Amino acid sequence: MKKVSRLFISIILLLGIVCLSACGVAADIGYYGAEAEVNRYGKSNVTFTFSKEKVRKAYGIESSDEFDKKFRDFADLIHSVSSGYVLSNETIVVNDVTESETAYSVNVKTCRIDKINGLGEIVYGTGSSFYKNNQDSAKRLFGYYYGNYSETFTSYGLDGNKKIVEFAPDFEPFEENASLTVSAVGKKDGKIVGEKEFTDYLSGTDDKIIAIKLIDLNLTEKITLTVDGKINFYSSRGVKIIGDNKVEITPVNYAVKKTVVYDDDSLTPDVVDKADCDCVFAYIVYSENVSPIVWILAGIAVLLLAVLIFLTIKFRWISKFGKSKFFARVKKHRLAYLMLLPGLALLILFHYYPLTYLTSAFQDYRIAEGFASEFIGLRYFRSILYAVYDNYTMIKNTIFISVIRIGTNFPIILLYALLINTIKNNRLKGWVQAVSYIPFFLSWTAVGGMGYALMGQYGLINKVLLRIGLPAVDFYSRADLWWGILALSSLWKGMGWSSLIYVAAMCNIDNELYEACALDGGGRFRMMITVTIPSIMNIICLQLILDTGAVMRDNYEQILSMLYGANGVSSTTKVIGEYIYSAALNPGSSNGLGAASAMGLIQGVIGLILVLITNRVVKKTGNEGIL
Amino acid sequence: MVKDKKNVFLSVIRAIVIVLIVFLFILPLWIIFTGSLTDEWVFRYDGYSMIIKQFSLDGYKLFFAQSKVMKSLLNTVIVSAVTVLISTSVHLLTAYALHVKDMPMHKFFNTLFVVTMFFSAGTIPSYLVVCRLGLYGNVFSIILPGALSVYCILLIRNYFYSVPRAMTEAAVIDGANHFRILFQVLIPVSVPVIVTTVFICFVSKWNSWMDVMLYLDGKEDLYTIQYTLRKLFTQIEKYLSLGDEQPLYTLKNAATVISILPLVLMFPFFQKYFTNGIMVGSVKG
Repeated sequence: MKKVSRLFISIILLLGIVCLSACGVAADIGYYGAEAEVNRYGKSNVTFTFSKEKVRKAYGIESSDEFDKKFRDFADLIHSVSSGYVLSNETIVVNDVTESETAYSVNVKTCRIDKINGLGEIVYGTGSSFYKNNQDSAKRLFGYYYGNYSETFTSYGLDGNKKIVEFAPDFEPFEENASLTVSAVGKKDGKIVGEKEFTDYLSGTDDKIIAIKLIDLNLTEKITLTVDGKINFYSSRGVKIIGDNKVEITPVNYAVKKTVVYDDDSLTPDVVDKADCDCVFAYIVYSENVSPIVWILAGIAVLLLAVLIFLTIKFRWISKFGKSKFFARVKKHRLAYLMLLPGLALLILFHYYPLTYLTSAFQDYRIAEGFASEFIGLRYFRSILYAVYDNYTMIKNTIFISVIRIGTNFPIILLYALLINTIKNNRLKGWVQAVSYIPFFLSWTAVGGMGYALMGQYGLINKVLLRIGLPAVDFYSRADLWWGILALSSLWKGMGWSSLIYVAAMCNIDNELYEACALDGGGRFRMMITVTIPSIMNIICLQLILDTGAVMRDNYEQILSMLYGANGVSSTTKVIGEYIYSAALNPGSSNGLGAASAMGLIQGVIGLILVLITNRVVKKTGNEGIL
Repeated sequence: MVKDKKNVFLSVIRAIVIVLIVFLFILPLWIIFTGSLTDEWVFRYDGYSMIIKQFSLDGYKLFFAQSKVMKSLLNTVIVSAVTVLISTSVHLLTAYALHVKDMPMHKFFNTLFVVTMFFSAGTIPSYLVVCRLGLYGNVFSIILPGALSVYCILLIRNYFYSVPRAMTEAAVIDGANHFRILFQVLIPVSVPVIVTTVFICFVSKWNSWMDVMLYLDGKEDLYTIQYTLRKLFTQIEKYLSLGDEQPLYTLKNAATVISILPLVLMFPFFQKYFTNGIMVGSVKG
């Protein structure tokens, strides 16, 4: 009994320890400093252990409760200066604070480490995109031996004071003190790698790079960094590689110019020209292990394929199909299928394949990570619903601009078509129509230029106003006018072409109907209302359905073209399209491709719902819908 | 008697309205045109106007002196022409295949195409696809995605529907296969709608610049004219704010005129096909 129970207890204890280490409870890590584990999304789990003595000396903290509070305040401070995620406080989340006899330990979970500001500078990303966006900085990673430049870093201490460190390293002699790149791969293991070889590698690789520049680390002896991959390169100064995926980083002492800006505003900043600072300048480049998601998906695909093939063979589907009537018809029209192929290929490639990328609306999407990007569910959608100011104005503008445009354009186009229809002289009719749809074939850039010709400082409208004696209007700063201006310019550009459909349909109305109406004593207006409009009712309904579907789709091209240059009227003209395009064009922006995808998805879904609703309404009133 | 007077009155009103409308359509084009042929300093003093107070070709001279302009005009012509070639072939083949009612899954394929007019994945997914296909920075990134226009396909398909069955049946009796029906029977008859779609595709490629901005930014020798124009306008704004003395306003107007000139010139030739093409094509609502 005793033996069994002892075994039982030791197993429980073992499990307990395993659990504890896996759950990331703050346990003394055995040295003063940090132990960090970075996962495949750049998020990290870090345990700090600080000496009680040093903490008391540096920050005057006497008790563990005080430390707990100070640290949590510190985490909030870091969050407020970082570009963390919208709607979450996830920059640094404090899990656990414990104390032992001589030390305090804190376990935290962080967001993507490159979004953390206020701790110096942390870089995380793929080598190629890092190199593309920061060539200067990438070159400087090796050897800070260009000598005649300096860097400035900002860092916050536990006491809330900001430290600005100006760093101009002087390396004498060069070889011993410079931080160069060391290869950890194959034959070159342990050897220094030249700058060109490293930058060439970096610019073309999918490997991840983590670069850490931390300053003034008065509580840290060592930092251990573990990654989910195999390390290929690391920096030489202060870095020791352990195994395949771990490095030990030791701070190095530098003489820097240090300015301390106190949290308490009444105190003036403290400047020391040559302060001794323990800093970390280190980087690693590693190839990530393949994401488990990829393996799972691949496995499922192979399984399904195997099942399909098995069933096909078992039930002899192929030969049964070959004898069917269906197949006979297919054979008869095999040329038609061939003709369908190119169009179908383009359709699938550029209309259906993009649909699979809609998953990016639910991910913190990075092009380099692709489908394996971190899944974040409905966060973007929630942030839109919670009416974050920017988003709210954007959506409001999009809807109002579209509704005003459709509300004004739709009836006017119809009236214009009716007007054209009353012209009996066919040549004149043709000419007037032709003139009216020339604007349709102009680009928005040209129309923007014409808008400027009318509304600008030297524009025609202001000239006329001045001549009458009225004050000139600066259209480009009057935000309130732009909904009308956009609707009007859309009308000018689209009226001719959109009315074509109506006019063409009106041409086909049987003359007998008009004659019957005339016999009944109807005048021109009567004829329009009782003959013309009902006859083209299904075309009108078709246009209405298509137009309502376009409500959520802004015409960003139009807005960009007419407002090129200063956009002082963005309070009424910032639309969803702007958000989406800026996400695509500025890869580093905080908008992110995922958020833009989410916006686009909302546009599409709402548009579709509107189409379906209008279609239903149209059908209820007795007309033909689209579907 | 009263009715006659009322009719005459209405006719006069209608005439006035029509003249007004025609005037309003032509006005913006006209003032850009005059603005491009005016002397710069007269323009800076007086602004846009209906008449040319002092004739000068300086704007155009400066425009053609810009090195990138000729290249991008050439690019635009090539890109538009290639797109039209690819588009038209694909459109014709697809429209034909979609109009064969006897073909199995005919409805399915038609719906497949039509549905894309109502719901699209959006800009970002399309952007990601083009990048994934490795077309970023390649001129085909602006040619291929826009090559397929479901609207044009539907126009042509409906036009095919309206061709009398007797014609196609005669060809079938003579032993023609689908290709021959398309090329020897349908296409010769469908010239109006084909011309219409050719023009629509050409114009839309000529005028498009958002895709150049997305996929070809930075590759200056692949720019098309509208994008070059935008870049030019930004530059002009900068120079103007620095007080530059060159004929910049007339340059802007001249650039606008040149960018629309080819289309406006082509327009009369294609115009007579439009009503025919659209009319028959869309009455099938």
